[in-house]
Amino acid sequence: MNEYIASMETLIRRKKENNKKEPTLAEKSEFMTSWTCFVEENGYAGRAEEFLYNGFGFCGAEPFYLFLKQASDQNDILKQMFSGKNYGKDSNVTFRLITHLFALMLNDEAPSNILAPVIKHFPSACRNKEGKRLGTAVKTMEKYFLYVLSPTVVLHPLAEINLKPEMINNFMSVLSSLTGELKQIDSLRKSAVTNIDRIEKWAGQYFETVGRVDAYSGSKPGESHKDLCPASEEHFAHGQRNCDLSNSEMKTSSHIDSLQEILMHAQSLATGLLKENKEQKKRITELETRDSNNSLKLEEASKKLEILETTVSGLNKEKNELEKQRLSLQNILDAKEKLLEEKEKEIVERIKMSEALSRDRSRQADERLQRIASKIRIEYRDFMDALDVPMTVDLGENMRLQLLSIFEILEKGGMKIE
Amino acid sequence: MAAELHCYFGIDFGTTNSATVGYLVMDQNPECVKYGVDEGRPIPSAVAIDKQTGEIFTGREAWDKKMELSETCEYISSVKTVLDSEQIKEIAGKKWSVIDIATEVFRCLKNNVMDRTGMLLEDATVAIPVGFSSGKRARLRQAAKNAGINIRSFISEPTAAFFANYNELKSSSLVAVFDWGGGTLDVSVLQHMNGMVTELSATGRNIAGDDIDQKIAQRIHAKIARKKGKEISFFDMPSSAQDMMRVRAERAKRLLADDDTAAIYINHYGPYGACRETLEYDWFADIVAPEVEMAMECLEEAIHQSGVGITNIDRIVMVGGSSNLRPLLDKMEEKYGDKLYFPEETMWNVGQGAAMLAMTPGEYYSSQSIGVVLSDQSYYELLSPNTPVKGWRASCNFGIVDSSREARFIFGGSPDIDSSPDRYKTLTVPAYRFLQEQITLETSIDTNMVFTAVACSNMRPKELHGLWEYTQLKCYYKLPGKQVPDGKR
Repeated sequence: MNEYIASMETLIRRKKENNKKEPTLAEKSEFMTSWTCFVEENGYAGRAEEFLYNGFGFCGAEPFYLFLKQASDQNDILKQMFSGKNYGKDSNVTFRLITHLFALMLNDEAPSNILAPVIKHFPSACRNKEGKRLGTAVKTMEKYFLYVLSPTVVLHPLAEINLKPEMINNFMSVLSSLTGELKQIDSLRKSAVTNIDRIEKWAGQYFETVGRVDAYSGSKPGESHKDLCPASEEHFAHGQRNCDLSNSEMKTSSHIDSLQEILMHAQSLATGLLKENKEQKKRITELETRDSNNSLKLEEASKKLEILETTVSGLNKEKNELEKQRLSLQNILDAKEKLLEEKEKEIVERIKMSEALSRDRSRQADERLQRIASKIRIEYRDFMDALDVPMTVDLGENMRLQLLSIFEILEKGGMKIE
Repeated sequence: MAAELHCYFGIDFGTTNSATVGYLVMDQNPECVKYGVDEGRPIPSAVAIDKQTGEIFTGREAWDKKMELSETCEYISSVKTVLDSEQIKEIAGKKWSVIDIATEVFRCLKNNVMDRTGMLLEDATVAIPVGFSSGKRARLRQAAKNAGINIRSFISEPTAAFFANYNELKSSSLVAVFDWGGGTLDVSVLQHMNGMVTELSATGRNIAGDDIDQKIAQRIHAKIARKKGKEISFFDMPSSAQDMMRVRAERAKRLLADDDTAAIYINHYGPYGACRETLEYDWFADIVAPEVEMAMECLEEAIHQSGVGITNIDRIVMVGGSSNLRPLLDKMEEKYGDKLYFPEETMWNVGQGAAMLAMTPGEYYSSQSIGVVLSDQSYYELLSPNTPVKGWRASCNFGIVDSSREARFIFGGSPDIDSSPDRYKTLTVPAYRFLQEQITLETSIDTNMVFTAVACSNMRPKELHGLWEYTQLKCYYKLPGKQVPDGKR
């Protein structure tokens, strides 16, 4: 908060020291930021209002309008402004503020409920404490309204503004007075001239809609309405006549009008507020019910979440346990696989040994026969040597012995002959 | 750790037959396999090379076709007996040394192992006779290497036979091994003490079963000739008839081991036709008496050489086919009584012992000292007893103490070295006689049990060195699992 105050004070002081030269864009931006932040934190009443007026030269009514737009109760903010300490303290600054604000609202196509208070206060803001029109009013109008108003914006129809016709007539009267004088200025910018025409048309449209209205109920007796300030379309269409009304009469009637307007406005506001209040209450009830339901749902959801968290926690624990088990089983599996590999190698070795021994055993079985064969082979050789030899007694005897020998060999070899 | 199959092979590289025995071991359960021919007998050490074609016949095939191959082939029945020969024979355009012949025998053994069990014979312990020279060892090692067999170690035949029968002999401290086979008689006396087996003596003869068969064949031929009235020299008979007669003689020899008579018959004995003779044991015993006497003398000689006396001999292990000669057994039993021990399957005993030592090898340790006699006549020991000989190396430096121009090393330490002429036990190297000169003596024992000493001066190039070799290194064999006294390594 202090930083915003310090910032704005510095800017204002610097502007004063610079002989009130036009602030730079950076300074304007800084002031805008500082004021909007400050008013957001602290509200409009008090120092914010003070800085708005003292720092008007930086951003005009822009920061206030930004604040007004984001406020939930815009009419309340406007009320604060119109009842503020600084409102009317410096009439020139006050009128500049109202004029600039009005232009910004029209540019922004602000709703009628916030246009109305401004339109209502416009005439009084244009007068000084003595009740005379401000000397700077024309200049203010030129700089802060005609140069600000967008040439393309559609002006809100005055007939839709919820104000008494007298108030609108009063407003139109002041407006026409100022624009009439401005039209005489040769050096007026083209945009300003265009805006003056548009305002005239805007007024004409209103009069078409509502008809002729005697705006100044405080006119002198006997004077025709015409002579005073007929805020009629004819006058606007054919030029403008300046009317001077009695200041005191104007004041009184305008006060009464103001009070009536205020009362009516207050009534309408009250009605609207009551309606709005009802709606808001209804809405509040609905919201409360919804909130209650949401709370219940939230509670249920919280409980469910708690249960789920417990479940998740439990599952995580289980998962960790299972992971440990998996690792353990993996280790066992690895060990088993290693063992299996070793066993497979062993099987290969055992098969190799088994095959070797099997071959040896089958040879051993064969050896026995071959031993017999080896012994018989000699007898066979001997027999074959004498195959073609003519039989003799000796040969026969030999063969008998040979046969006996063969039988002995077979018997010794394990054959049961006898 | 997965059980693995390990194979350990032992080879009895015999004069007449070579026996290969393998132990297949898995889970510390050894299975013994005897790699014999079809009849289950060891493989003949015969090699025949066709003079025309260079075709090689080995083993049983060469033995069976001996008669027919002897005319067309260069026939070598026993390469073991000529292993130290330098002779080179040119057969069918190729030069053959004794190593080449021995290689063929090893190849035959290796092929038989592959054929019988599908195993690869790559390493083996080979049994050799006691006193087998380092030169013969080197040649045998080379022949085995040529056949793709690495000889891990040599073991003496009697030690192998002893170890094969260790369970029955371990209580005996002095054992004579009487190995009378087909080609040779080898007798050794072993001392067995605390797991150390020392060969105290070894002797032999080159008269064995084949000679006895030949003698009997000739005697029977003479009988037949007398009977038939035809005088034909046995050696003039057809070779097939001679062969048949030898076979019948060998058969009769075996029959007479159990019976008092044995019939000899040949249906067609050359010009003599059908012949038949009945041999009586007494006649047989008379014929083989000189051989039996020779065998007995050989045994006594070995015992005498050992210096232990017959009374101290605990057991006489009878191995080889000829050990079963009945006349021999009669005399042996008469003289030595229950000292005689007959192992089963004697023809496989040596091979089996070699295979068992391949499986659980022991180690050779020197049983003697070798050193040099210094200038002050003191003895400087280079190799001390009880030193493991495998891979043994030593080096030491000597200085010259007199004005001689050479360094002389006089070796000693064992009776055979001490008693040999100086020229056989002296190693000389030239020296400069400089004060700083050192003579380095590097000694080692190689895989063939040759003790080698190389001397060189540090002032001379290495080419000018002296060499001394001692091939009669006395060792004992430490059986596996036994402790020995500490010796220098």
